[in-house]
Amino acid sequence: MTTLRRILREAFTDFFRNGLLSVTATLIMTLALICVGIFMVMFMSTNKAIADLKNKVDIVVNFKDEASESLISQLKSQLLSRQQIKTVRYISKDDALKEFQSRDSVKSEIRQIVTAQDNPLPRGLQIQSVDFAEYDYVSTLIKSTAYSQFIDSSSYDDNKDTINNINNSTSFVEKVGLGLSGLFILIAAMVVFNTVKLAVFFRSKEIDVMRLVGASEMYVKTPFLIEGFLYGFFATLISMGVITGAIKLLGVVSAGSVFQRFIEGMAPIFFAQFWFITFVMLMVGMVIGLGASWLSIRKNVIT
Amino acid sequence: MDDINLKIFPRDFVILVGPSGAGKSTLVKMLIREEKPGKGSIYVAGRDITKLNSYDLPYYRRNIGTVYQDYKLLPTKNVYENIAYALEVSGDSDEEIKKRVPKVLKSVNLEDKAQSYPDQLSGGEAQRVSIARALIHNPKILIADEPTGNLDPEASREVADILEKINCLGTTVILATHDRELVDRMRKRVVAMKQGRIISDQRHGRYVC
Repeated sequence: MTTLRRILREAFTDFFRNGLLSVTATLIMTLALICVGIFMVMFMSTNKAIADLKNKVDIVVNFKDEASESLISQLKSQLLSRQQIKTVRYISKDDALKEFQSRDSVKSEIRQIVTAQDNPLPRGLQIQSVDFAEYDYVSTLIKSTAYSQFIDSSSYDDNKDTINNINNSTSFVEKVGLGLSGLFILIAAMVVFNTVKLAVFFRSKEIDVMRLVGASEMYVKTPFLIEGFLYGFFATLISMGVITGAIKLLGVVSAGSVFQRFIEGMAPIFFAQFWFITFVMLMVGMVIGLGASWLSIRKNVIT
Repeated sequence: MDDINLKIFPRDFVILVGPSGAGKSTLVKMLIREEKPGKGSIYVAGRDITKLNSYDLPYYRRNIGTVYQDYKLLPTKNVYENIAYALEVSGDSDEEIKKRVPKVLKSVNLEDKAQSYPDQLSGGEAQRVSIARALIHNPKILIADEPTGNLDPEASREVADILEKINCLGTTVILATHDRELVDRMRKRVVAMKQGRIISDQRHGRYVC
């Protein structure tokens, strides 16, 4: 225990004595970890967005005016009998009118044409599916002879494209994020490697003396390993601080802008997964720090 | 190094002499296993140190006190800490260190310099710190490689006196030097080396070129 305490004391003293070297290594590591952190948050956000979208993606089946209410109810029951289909909402003509009137994208002249008295809008069933796979079932059902003749239209295929688009763009984002993170991690590892190499070089005389008075290899080398770890540790603290601050600041600054929804999507995920993200960054930081340090000692501390 | 056959007995005071390049320092390095002989063995206290593995080496070195021409003190630690360091590396407790360091500082007359840093010491004082550190483990053997090389005559004499005192108290001392005056003054066993060979071994010798 005493020995551990002495080794730790040595490591901390050396870390601070290295001054600018330690600061540089820590900052580069911070950069890498910020990349990792942002990538993680984006990855989680898009995953959640897709999950939400899958939940929120609606199939709306519009009925011809000839369709009876009982037919619509029958279809609704059949759909709800599927375990995966959570909600089926009946849209009456009034509901359809209200929704139509509330749409900003519709010109006001057109909105005025459609009134409660003269309402050509169809009744519909809005189906919220859990599983993407359920859409085929729904499609088959509404194309069946019992219902197809009474169905005016359905908005099914468009949503599939939306989901595919999201999948494609997120996989692109993920690849870029992964690539960037990987690059920064590599750079951070090289910087730590060189920093430890320099530290060993500057203290080579001291290391000689340590060996002469009978210090074990562990006693000589462990402080350098701990220094590597410290770069990762402090970098994690700073990175989490920076990302937290940035998200909070962006939340304020982006209010009312295009980015607001984006930040609003990311922020809750970040804070909900705060400790998990911190843990992962700490692990990455430690592996880089310890690993690069160990490699450097192996090459540069001659036995 | 060539055909070295040397026997040193407990409580001996052996002076290795010879010009530069004679092999004195090489022999010293071999004794602390900084270098290994190409052929042959070196027995210290009945143990062949050429066969020591890297795990045992630190323990061996802790039992041999070494003093060098350039003092080899840690510049970022003060005198007290430099000496204490030799005890820290062997896992001695803080209490033990607090007891032993002042004692050994007293034996080399440096109690009032305990808080000074190496760059604040004179050559003679720095060398005495080195000696104090070398003695901290009560070693059976003390090896000094050109300990007076950077010192003025008075400091050299001081160091020589301390080494003699240590030897009187029971430590085997091996001193490598090309300081003629030191050798002639001390009148100890002198092993002369030249070009890697031992050319003479006299019980009460003088410096022979």
